[in-house]
Amino acid sequence: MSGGIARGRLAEERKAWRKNHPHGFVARPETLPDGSVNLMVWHCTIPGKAGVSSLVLLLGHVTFVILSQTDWEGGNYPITINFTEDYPSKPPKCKFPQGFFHPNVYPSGTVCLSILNEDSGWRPAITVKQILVGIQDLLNQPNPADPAQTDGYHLFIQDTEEYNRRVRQQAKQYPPLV
Amino acid sequence: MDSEDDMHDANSVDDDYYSGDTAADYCSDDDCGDYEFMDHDFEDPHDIVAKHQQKNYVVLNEADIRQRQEDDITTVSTVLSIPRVAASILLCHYHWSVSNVHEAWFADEDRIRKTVGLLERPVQFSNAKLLTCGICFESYPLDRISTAACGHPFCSTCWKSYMRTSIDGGPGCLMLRCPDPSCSAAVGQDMISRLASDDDKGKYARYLLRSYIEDNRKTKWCPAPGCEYAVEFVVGSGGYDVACSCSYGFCWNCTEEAHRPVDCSTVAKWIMKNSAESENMNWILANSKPCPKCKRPIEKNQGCMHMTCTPPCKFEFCWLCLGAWTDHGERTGGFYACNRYEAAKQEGAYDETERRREMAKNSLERYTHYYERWATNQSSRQKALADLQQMQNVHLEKLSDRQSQPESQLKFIIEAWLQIVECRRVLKWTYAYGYYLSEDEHAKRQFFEYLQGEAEAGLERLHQCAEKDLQNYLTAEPPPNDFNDFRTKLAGLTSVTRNYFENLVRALENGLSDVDTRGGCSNTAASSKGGAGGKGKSGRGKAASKTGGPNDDSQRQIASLFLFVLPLGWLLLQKL
Repeated sequence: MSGGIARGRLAEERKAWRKNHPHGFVARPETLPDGSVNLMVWHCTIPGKAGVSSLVLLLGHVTFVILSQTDWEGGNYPITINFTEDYPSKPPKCKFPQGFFHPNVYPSGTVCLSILNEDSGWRPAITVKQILVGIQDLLNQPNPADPAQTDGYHLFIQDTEEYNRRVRQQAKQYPPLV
Repeated sequence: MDSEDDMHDANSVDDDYYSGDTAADYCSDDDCGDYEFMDHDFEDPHDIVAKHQQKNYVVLNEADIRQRQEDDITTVSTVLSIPRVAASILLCHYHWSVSNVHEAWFADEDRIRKTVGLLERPVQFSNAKLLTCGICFESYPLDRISTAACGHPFCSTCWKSYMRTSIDGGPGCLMLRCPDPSCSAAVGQDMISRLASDDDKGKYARYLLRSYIEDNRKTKWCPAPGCEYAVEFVVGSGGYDVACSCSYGFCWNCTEEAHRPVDCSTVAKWIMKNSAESENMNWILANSKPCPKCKRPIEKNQGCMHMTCTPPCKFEFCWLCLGAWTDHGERTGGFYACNRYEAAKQEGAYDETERRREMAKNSLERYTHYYERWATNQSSRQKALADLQQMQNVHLEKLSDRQSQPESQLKFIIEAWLQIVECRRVLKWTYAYGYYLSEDEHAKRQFFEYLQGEAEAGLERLHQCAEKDLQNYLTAEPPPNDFNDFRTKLAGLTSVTRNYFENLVRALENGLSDVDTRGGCSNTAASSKGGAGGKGKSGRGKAASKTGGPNDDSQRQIASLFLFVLPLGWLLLQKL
């Protein structure tokens, strides 16, 4: 058990976040009805990437750079991070709202991302900040090798136009809080 | 016949029965335990193969494995001038192939260092008094902080739990990297020994040892339950049969139980077939019809055609046409016939399903035939193994007392039992072979069945003699005094049976090709005569006469062919 370093580490994460965090992101531990703070659950917001994103495709010796307006811009996507007592030995679970539209998000809302996978990419030194930035990247650059929902995956593969429409529609669903 | 002629060295018996290698036959008087004396002038290809098979594998115990692993690590460490830990990590990445490590390293050292995570110049620590652990974010004095070669600082507690998580996760811990997400520096056994708990250190060492066997192309664990030996095999050197020191015989190629003369793919097919649900399905298909309403399969084992499905369905229908019984009665032919069915059948409406059902039934019967015999020999072999144990541990001593014979003089009984065990194994697999032997190859099938039949009959005689006849000498009062006759009989049967099985194994291994090339067969017999001539011993004739010839007229033709094959095996045996 090693005395459960989860809470100590999360307290430090909290301190570090307050000192400095990327623009537009929100991350704060849950406040219980009695006013106490539950460090094991964090409510966060990830802003859709602003500006122009570039998608680089490498095919043989030819490089295609596809420039596009990011369709995720304007959305502020709520995500809940659930830590366990095994944290940071084991990764936390990150969940968007149920039914969130994205090829790598399970119907339950759980994010499928290598750095959040205990058996592949997770390392205990990965911070909350790195997780959130990693998920923001994932929004714009889905990983078609690892689909988690049929709806988002099929549209992404087969019908880019409809896919982008759905993404923009979802962005409107989560307007900025201010 | 001199009984000692037939004595094997007990150790050699496990090795290889049917390669004509019964070396100990030849030298029971002295203790020439190896096979060096095997005649080099003899040109039969089987013997050359057999000689190779003697040496194409080595059984390793844990100490051997450790030794080899240490030696390989030392080699790489010396040649590349790197620490032993680094050598171990490298070897692990290259599946413990020393030559692959050398090749890759000298081709592109930088690339290898990068992929494996061996940094060339360890990063120097800052000389701050306190460092922040990258996992718990607490600050610690330097003596509580450790780093891999990359210099990313983590406290001992966090290292320990990082290692535990990884080691609990399985052998992947052998490729452990620094906990920093962007760092690929390897974490080797030296750090594990320094920082992990004792329990975890043990597990890690275990994984490292296992990796040496499991990731290595040349070695495998013996698959027998509880056996801790491994076998190193020289790939590409012929026969796959391996006898582990635990006495389990297995095929190195597919790690199933030894199955010579049947090939691995047949064995895999057969085992799959035995376990597959498909046979159940075939049975259901052949012997049942689905209830037309609830679709549950129904087997009709007696009675009339008026069926009532079991509750809750309770549907009443006609077994023949599967229509509702309400439409039936006297006008459709009564309870034991169905005019509607007959009429529809005339029109061909039922043909397809009926034919499928009929075929499934036939194929199932055929399979059952072979499976039953396969399974019987399997259990018979288990029983024989137990009897052999009993004989070695209990009866032999008793018999030695009763017959006033030294136990060394009773070895022929153990011989006989070992032969029985081995023959049961071979016979078992010939039934898998038979199942897959095409029905169309009529001559082959006939020849195969003849050989199998002869071998089986011989084995039954031997088994009977070893089991029943022996009882007399164990229990009858006063002990019968014809023990020497018994010895002659049992030893004779043993050698005759061995001979039959050698023929069977050889015939199956060359795909029963003797059927097509009768000329070639007699040629082989003639050529082997030359090598065997001078060395044949007399005294086996008695046993041979016991085997008798085939008496079925329809088999005479094959029998005459077989008579060419038999002396061949005979002579081979004799010259040894």
